[in-house]
Amino acid sequence: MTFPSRQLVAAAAAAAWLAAIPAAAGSSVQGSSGELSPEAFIDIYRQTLADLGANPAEHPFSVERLAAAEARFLGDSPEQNGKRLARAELDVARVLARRDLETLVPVIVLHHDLAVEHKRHQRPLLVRHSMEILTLLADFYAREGASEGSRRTAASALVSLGGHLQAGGRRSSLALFDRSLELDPGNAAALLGSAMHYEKRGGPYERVVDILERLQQANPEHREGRLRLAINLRRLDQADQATELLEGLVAGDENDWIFSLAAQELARSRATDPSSAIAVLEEAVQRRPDDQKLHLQLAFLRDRNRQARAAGQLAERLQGGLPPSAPTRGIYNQWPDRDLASLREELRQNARTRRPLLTAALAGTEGAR
Amino acid sequence: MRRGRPHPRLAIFVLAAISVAAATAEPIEVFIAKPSPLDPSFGPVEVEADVHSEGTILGAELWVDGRRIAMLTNPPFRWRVDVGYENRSHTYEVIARGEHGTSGSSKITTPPIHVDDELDLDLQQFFVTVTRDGRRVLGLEESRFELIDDGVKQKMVTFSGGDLPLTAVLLLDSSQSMRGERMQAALRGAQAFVEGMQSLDEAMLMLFSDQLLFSTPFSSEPAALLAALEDVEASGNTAVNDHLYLSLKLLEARQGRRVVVLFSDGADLHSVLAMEDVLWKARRSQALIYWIRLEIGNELDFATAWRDAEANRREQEILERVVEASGGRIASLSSTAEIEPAFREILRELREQYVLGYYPDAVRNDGAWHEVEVRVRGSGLRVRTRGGYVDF
Repeated sequence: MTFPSRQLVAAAAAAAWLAAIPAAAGSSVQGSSGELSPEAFIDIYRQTLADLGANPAEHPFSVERLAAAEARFLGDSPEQNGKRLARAELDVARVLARRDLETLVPVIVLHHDLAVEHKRHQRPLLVRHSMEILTLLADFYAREGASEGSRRTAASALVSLGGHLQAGGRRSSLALFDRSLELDPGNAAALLGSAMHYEKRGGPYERVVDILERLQQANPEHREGRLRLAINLRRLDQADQATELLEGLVAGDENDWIFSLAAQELARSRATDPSSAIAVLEEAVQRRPDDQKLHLQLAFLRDRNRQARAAGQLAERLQGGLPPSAPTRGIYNQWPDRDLASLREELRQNARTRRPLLTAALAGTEGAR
Repeated sequence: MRRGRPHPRLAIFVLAAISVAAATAEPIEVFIAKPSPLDPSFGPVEVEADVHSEGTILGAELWVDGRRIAMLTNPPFRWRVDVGYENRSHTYEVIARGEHGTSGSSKITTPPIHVDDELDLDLQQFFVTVTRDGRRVLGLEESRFELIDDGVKQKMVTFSGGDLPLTAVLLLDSSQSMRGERMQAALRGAQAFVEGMQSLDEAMLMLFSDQLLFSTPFSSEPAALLAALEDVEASGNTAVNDHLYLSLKLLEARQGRRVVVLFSDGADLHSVLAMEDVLWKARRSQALIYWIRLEIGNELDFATAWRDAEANRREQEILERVVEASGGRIASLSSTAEIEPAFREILRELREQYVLGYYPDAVRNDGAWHEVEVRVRGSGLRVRTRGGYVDF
């Protein structure tokens, strides 16, 4: 296989800075760049990849070292040196991919981790740089690999980084989710992340529902997706569909935060039928006897329906020592870490299995710098 | 006249009140059957005395508050007397006279209403702050005040100014955003409040985030309350609505003047209850709500997965209405240095309120809102109190 550098550049058309890179294959990086010459940087970059192949345990240290080298490379002219940095890294990746496309998987994971490292050090330009390199490589890998596995791996890398960037760069996250969904339309984490993006932005809730319905079609057993769909259907006054979903969640055997929220929302949806709402919460309290929110909501509903004494007993029980329980509404407001964790583990496993290929490719391209 | 519930100590008290005539002839025994010495008395009061003697009884005199009211020569010895609506104690004495100069008497004293007494549920009490040019005005007489319930002037049955016992919930936002100096300043404020309480006052400390983190029982012992503050650590998100409702609910079982002092930036992220639910409760509560609102870095324009920015703004506006409707107020602070003085100032204000009580003319228990206006005569005087009540 030959590495089609023109295709790589074409895939990067959306990235304005990359458009300025000459497309000629084999072009070398020239000129001074920050405190580090391009040649010195490429040495560090290749050494980092070699370390990843030879000694995975050193991965965090390697990432830290390479991130520092990138920062030094940018120096005082980040705009101009950013282009040189991208070209240097892509040149190495191009040579590796010529040898074996699968070597790109650990390289993609490396740039994922570099973005996280830069975010930790609050280097927004380099976060963006890493994100764009990752996007280019993931796109290329998915397209050239042309298999479900390669598309899924590429999408996972994009979604995982999107999750990391949620707190500080929601727009960037959304771009990553969108790109990953083009590669893997049923990716649960990407669908959840996109839906949450719009939920946290306050809508449009029609779009949230649309995304979550896609999730339900792709993964009907995804309970969190069903819960979110029910809550957003209620926002759009589609009460019947919402109630059906909530009743399904409450009827299950689970006893987790999703059950708690489903019971809370189901009780709220039955505001015109207080005894039914109270029955839902009474059963929920039995299943989750330490859940403060369920107790509180039950107390309020009883209070509101002229059962002041019973409400008072619940209030005293709350005040008297229910331990702090899982903050169910807080969990709902957080990025779905559980989905993300399993996805990251799968991604790292894929990278681990390809490290020997990376080592071999690096050895074979020693003279191709 | 309205009364509280009968009390088992009544019989003992009445026995002690019986006086046996010390005449050499047939003794005369007098027992005042009405009113009860345990109940406050207002307006028209029926006084009834049982008078017993083996000899002839010439008559019985009724004295109220040291003033001779009337005399009856034949039983039943029953009188109606108007003692007025001032909240004060009254002394009732019945003196019976017989032949040969014999006499017997009995005297009872009815108490005034204390705000921590258990009262009939339909007594409406209003805690009123009166200011002129922003300064509180003290020492106003009852005659200056008027109570208007849905446009109808009411008869005041209780009036008091100044220092009345209170029961307070100090509701402290202990979420992550309060970490550090904010939390320390809030704790110093709570400490100042608790240490300023008087012997009949009670308080509960409630620390919350998105969960109830910690609370004490109601206590009048500052040491017991303050010990709770030692291990406080701020964490988690914020659920103001839930815990404000909980405070009002817990205060419902208490007597007298009830107060919630909420310390928070007011941003509710994770409550299961809406602020409309709290408003529902606040309108059925006689509790005053004070909100010490920290506005440092307080971003009001925020959205969560639960509510968009507009809904969050609306929640804040309703919280403001809840506070205003309760007769409390918002103390908006721009620095942590203002927190402790704000707690002290609220306690001072509570000590300088007037308490006005009345029984509404028309009690229907129909859940309707009654708008109540308290007027006070005097140039430049402004009144702050709750805006009404729900008849339930």
